[in-house]
Amino acid sequence: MTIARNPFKLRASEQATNEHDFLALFGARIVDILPRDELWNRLIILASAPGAGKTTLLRLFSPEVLRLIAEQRNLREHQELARKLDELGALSSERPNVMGMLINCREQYASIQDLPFDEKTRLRWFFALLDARIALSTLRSAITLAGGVYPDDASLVQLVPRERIVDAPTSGDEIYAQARATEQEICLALDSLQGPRAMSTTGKIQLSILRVLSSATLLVDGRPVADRALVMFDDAHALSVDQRRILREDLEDRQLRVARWVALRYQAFEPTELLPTARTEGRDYRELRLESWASGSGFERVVQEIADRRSRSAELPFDSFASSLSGAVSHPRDQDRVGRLLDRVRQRVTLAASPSSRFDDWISRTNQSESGSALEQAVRWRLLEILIARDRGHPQLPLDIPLPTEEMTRREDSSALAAAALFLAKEEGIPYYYGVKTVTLLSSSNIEQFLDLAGELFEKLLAVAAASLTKRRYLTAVEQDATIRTISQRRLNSLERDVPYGADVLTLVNHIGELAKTETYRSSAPYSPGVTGIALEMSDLRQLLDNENDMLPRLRRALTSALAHNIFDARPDVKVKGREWLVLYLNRLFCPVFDLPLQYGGFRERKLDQIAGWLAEDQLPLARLTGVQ
Amino acid sequence: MAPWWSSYFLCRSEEFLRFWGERTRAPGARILLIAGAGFDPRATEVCRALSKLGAKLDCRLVRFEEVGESPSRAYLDQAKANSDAMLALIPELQEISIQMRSEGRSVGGRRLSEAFRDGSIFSGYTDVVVDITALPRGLYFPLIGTLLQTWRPPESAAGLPNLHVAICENPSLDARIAEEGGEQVDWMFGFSGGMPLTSQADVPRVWAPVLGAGQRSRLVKYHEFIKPVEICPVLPFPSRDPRRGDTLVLEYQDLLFDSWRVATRDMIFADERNPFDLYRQLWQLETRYAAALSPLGGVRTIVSTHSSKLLSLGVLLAAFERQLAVPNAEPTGYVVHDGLRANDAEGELFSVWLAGEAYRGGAS
Repeated sequence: MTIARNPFKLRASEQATNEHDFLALFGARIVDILPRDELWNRLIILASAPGAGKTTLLRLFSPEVLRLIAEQRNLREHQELARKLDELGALSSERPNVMGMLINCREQYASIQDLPFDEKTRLRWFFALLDARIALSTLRSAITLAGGVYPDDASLVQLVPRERIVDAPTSGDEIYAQARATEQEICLALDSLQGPRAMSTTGKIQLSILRVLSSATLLVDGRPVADRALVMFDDAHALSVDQRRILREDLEDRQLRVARWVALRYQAFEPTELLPTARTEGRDYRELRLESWASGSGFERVVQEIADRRSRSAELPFDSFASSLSGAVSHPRDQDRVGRLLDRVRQRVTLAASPSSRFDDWISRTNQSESGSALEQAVRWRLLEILIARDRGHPQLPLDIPLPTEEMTRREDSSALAAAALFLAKEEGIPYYYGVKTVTLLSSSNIEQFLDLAGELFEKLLAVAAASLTKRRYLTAVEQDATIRTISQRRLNSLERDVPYGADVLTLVNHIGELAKTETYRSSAPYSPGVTGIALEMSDLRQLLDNENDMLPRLRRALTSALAHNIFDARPDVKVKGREWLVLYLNRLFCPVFDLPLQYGGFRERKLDQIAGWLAEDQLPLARLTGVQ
Repeated sequence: MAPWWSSYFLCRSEEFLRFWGERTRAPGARILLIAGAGFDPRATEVCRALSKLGAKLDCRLVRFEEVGESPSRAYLDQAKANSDAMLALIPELQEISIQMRSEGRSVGGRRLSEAFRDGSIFSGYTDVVVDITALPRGLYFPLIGTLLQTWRPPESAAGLPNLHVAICENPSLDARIAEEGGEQVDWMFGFSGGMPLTSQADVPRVWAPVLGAGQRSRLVKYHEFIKPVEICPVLPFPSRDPRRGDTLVLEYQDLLFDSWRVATRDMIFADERNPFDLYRQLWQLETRYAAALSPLGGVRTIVSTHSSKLLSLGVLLAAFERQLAVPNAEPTGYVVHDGLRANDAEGELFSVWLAGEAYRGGAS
């Protein structure tokens, strides 16, 4: 395993160039997203925003990685992964059961659509190129699983037809030569500054190679190498719309005996498909959305496993990432501050309640309650302040008779307590965003987002460990909070650059954030612990996202882009007041910029024309106005 | 084998005016200017300078059609004013409309290349000048690549005029122009260097990104796309601001040293104001790596440009000659921070002679 100073900055799929490094960074629990049924006989579509872990998951099924797991299955660090792969049928006790072929759809396929040929010819080129690359990948995979050297051992490969195959080479050498020539011819034509020459492609508009593999047994040196073949199309969003549609139709063919997985980003979806409730019943494929799976408790376990693996593999190793992030305001300086603020809050609330005697019993109960830390006591005082504000906001103010403490107990709830903690943190500059659970929440079910956050915190941890006289090996809550707020602001500032229609997406985020902040910090905390999103009526939204409907195109583009890039966490079909709504929660990473809580639940309804009005205001995005870089 | 442009001709500022003054006064001189009809306030400066010198000038003005939601559309008035100014200077100017995108994919480079494949366009001219000041990277790489294919440098094919590239540089304006969008990285049209071939998948990749400010997310995307085994970042030195290289290292230090594990010995320093210096360094880099790793199956060098247009020309020349791959994430448009200012049109004029009589029999 290569040792890195900050292993959180490495990406398992992209930067771990060898399979040992890849496995060292791989968290086994992500495999749980794969269903045990239908995995090998039905088209599987893996969809997510960028950074959710699709490519990492696909790479697991590459021959090099599967072979290594099979060889090292008894090592403690690979046992869980090997067991999960056994259960899926990808591994047997001795060897991989799957021959995986990974096809990256970014590689020039879409530009075939730009050639000056008729549609049929372009599709023939597309399928010819795919066929050639799948054939080359099949040879490579088979030879690797058999322990040979690709392409030198291509002559050892033989396709033995179970049925009659027309016009298909069966020896490895022939397959290699033909596929290589086809790929070269098409690629050169696509990149030619002098223009492509017409090619004599008479192929079919379907993946012929999958039909061949479905009706033949592949042998290397006379022996089968795996029980089943799996072709994985990564980054399928990079294909043109027509290519994607026709490829999907072709892969839906249930006669195929090759497993087919397609990974793509949401940007490939039609706007109406972006909503997680898009129905999949009756389709010939199964769609897996990584964020939907990750929103369960599985995500927390996955990222913590990943974090611990990485912490342990650093130049300066840490046994556990979680224990490096202090989960309490524990620094002595912080404790002093908290003690002073308790006195302050107590005085303020007592003063605010006077001269009425209505809250005397509540005050004395809070006064008597000395359990818990100074901070917990201060939060209870702040809760009392919220309860007083709520009571005073009541339209018919009752008589000035002390309210019983039972009434206080009845009105207290955990969300109001959470709001009190949030209010206090903002008012008094107490750290709010800290601890490993917070980092997990801030990741919004996206592994890359988690790694970015954890990477910055780990960087700070290394700096503290190097600079501290006591060689301190943890970050205080203050340090974590400050780091997280910086990352949050940076992410907001980069939206404009990173996301299509970024300026408009930024405007939406800024307006929703400011609206949420205003609603959250109302003195009575009516939406406790806070508002973090807006809701649109589903019927309005369907109209807006329908491509045929040219209503508010600017808003549609911005919203589609934001949904495709995980800027909003969309919860459709939420029923409120007898109507159905789509709730758009801010990606949790933006919450610190607006001092918002990380819990879901609070939102405000808005009409489409109100939101479109935000874009039409044509003002500079707030992030720029505030001058934060 | 020596680099094609081991000797070269480059002039700037006063030299630019002197050089073009002499050329336009030469008997029979007739210049074809190919320029972009963008919003960039410097877009007309080269045309204006050549006109002032009394050049007999024809122009193909490339109007690139941005998609409806491009942020560049906020500057349509400025683009129109630039076109009008060009038209006033050259009434016979011909416009070429180029569609930039199709289904979100960048197609402009391919379309522009198609428009200039026919060599007969250039007959009757003594000089062809490509003014890249207001052309996006995704257009001028394929355009100059196509012209170089026709010219076959450095001597150039018989009967063709001299080929030049001109730029009006203004670093302070460049720093305020930010690219927006450009999510998908692909190989630049005409500059894939054969990288999409499956046979190249296992060949180690060396990446030389020419660093510029504010390019973090783009650099990350390029890195993910290229998957290099070694990175040789290019820093500007010498440069107008002597600390510019240091500032860039500070900006990207976590990326360079933690994420990518760049060794400081692999950094390349190239003269900010001389594209041929960068060209030669990239040429040497590729030659050195290729020689060292050929017993192990070779290496592929990939170059990308995140800095000024002048330096990007060095990338283009090295990539064209050595068939290096160039990735590109075509932005959906540009935003000028703090808006356009009255003095933004000011800049330093550069002229780079790429092919023609200066190189016949060896350039000086």
